[in-house]
Amino acid sequence: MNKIKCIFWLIGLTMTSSILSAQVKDSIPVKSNLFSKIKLAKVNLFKKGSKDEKGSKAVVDTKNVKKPVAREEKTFEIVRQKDTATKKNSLSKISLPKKNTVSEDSAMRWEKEINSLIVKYTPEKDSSSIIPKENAANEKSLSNLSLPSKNTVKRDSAVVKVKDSSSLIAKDTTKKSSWLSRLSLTKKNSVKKDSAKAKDTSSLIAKAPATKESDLSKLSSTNKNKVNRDSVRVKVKDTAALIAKDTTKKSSWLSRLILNKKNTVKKDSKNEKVKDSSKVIAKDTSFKESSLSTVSLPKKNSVKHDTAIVSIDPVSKSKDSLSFHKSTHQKFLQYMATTTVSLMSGASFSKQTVDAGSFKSNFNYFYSDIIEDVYKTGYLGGVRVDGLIKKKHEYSVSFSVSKIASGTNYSSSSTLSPVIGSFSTFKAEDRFWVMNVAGHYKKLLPLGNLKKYKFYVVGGPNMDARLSKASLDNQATDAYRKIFLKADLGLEFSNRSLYTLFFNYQQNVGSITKTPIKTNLNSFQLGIIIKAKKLL
Amino acid sequence: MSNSFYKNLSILLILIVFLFGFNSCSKDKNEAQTSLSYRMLSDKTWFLDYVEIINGTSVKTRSYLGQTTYFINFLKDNTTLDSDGISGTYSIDVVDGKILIKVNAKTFGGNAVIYDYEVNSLGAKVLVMSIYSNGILNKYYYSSK
Repeated sequence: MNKIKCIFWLIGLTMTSSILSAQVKDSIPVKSNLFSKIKLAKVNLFKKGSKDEKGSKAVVDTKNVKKPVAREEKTFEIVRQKDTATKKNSLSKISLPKKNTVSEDSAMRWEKEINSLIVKYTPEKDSSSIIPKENAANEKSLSNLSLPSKNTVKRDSAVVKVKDSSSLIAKDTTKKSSWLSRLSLTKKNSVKKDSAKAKDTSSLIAKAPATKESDLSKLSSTNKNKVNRDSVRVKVKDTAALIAKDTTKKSSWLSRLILNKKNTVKKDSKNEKVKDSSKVIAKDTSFKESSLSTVSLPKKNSVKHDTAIVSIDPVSKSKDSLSFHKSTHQKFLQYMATTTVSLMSGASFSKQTVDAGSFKSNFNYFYSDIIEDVYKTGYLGGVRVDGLIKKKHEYSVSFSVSKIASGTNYSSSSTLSPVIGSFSTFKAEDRFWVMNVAGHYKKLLPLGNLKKYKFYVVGGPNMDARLSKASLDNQATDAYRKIFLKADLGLEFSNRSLYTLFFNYQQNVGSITKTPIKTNLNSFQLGIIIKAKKLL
Repeated sequence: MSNSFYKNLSILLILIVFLFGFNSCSKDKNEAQTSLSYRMLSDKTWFLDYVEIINGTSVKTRSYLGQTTYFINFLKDNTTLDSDGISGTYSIDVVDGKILIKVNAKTFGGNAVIYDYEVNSLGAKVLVMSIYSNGILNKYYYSSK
């Protein structure tokens, strides 16, 4: 039930919005420099199309068009001829200030003229109701229109009477096209085709596409065109609802895009045959185009989503790639903005505690010779990257090479009786080179003046990979692992971002030697970190 | 965790693996044992301190500490000479984890003396070798001075 309510709500909302948008639309200024060619083509096409459509470049098959539709075509042709006539005349005469002057007066004037241009169309009745004389008169009047009214858009009107219809859905999609003449031609033809297919049906799909052309790059040129739009007035008997949709589509100057759109419009119009239906759908599609590709790109997306009529696959792919590139670039920039690369160096102090346990070997080592229960000094150097996780949590990843020198304490011993003394069957490695990778989570401590000094508690995993060879003693026993894990806990002191001092305690997780020998290596690291930028 | 963090980590891990590829393989364990044995054994004079004669469960121990006793030299050129005048060559082999010292020598009279010692424990200061003959295990404890 909820779903049904929701659907009704959505339908209601769309209806109201579409009605509102339908009221708001119209009278969009049309700007073009290259209209002369386009309009000429239009004129020629319509002339041919009315008599013999072989000459037309449009793809629409007009052979199967039945009579009532042909009549409808004539009505549109008449209007178009008027349009082109006016455009031709006005192209050379329009001046700049008049372009943008869309005054209420001119609109009123146009309303009057539009009313005069209304063509009544009744599919069931004879098409002789179309009055060419009126159109002819209007044609003259259109050509003589004053400049302020140039930008106003006339609509070709058609009155459609529908019997036994219960609803009427009028869609008005406005599309502006560029200077490409082909687009406008195909649009015209598609309209013809639509009307042809609607003839046998009780419903009527009347489309009134109109072309608005703009060329923002040449604003100095005037808007010469008074574009008569095919407007559809639908009289509905026994209708329950009227839904008007207005979807505005804007496309860029890319010719391919426009061609694709044209084709899709044609296809859609083909599919809009409604037999015995009670709905009348009137669509008014007009394409808007701007020469600014950057501006028009997001609008193209909106076209895709708003209407299912136009599908722009290749363009959408390119958009996807563009958006992906942009997003990755932005991410990279964000990453670089929150990441600092530093060089680090320091000293380490290490000691091992070895428990040989039950380890047996053919070699013995006198304890007194090998035991060194002290921290020995090694050193390290490497690179560190500091960054932010989710813009909140600070972290660092360091990559360093270090030489570990460690003292060793043996917690277990063996004897070789009757020889006096304590022995070990295993001798710990006291120095080796390792490559270290550490990831630290940094937590800022609220100590002191944070603008000057920052104290961090750091902690995280640490991994050492042994680079150097083991000593011969350990090669014979093969006791040491090549990779060993450690855990770090430490403090860092950042002095006004000039340098950072760090002090870490490291304890290995598990043993750095193979079983049954257990070796704990713990070490302290003391060092300094300086940003790489400051060194360059 | 952000992707960048994982990217960094993965790059570093790849580097580690790459560097491990250049890390030379360690010597063979037997070879290492042999080398280590030579290093520990050679150029030293080993004095006999104790002898254990193990016959089944009975263990007899003789001590020569503080006495003029038997000694043997193992030189770097793989020659050997003991206090009895037996001289010859020696070699170390590792067989099944056991270190064997093979001595091929001659007495003053020119009689050939061939014997194999099994090293029980070898260190820088203490050498324990054993030889098995006629069902009796003789265990010799040497020390280097």
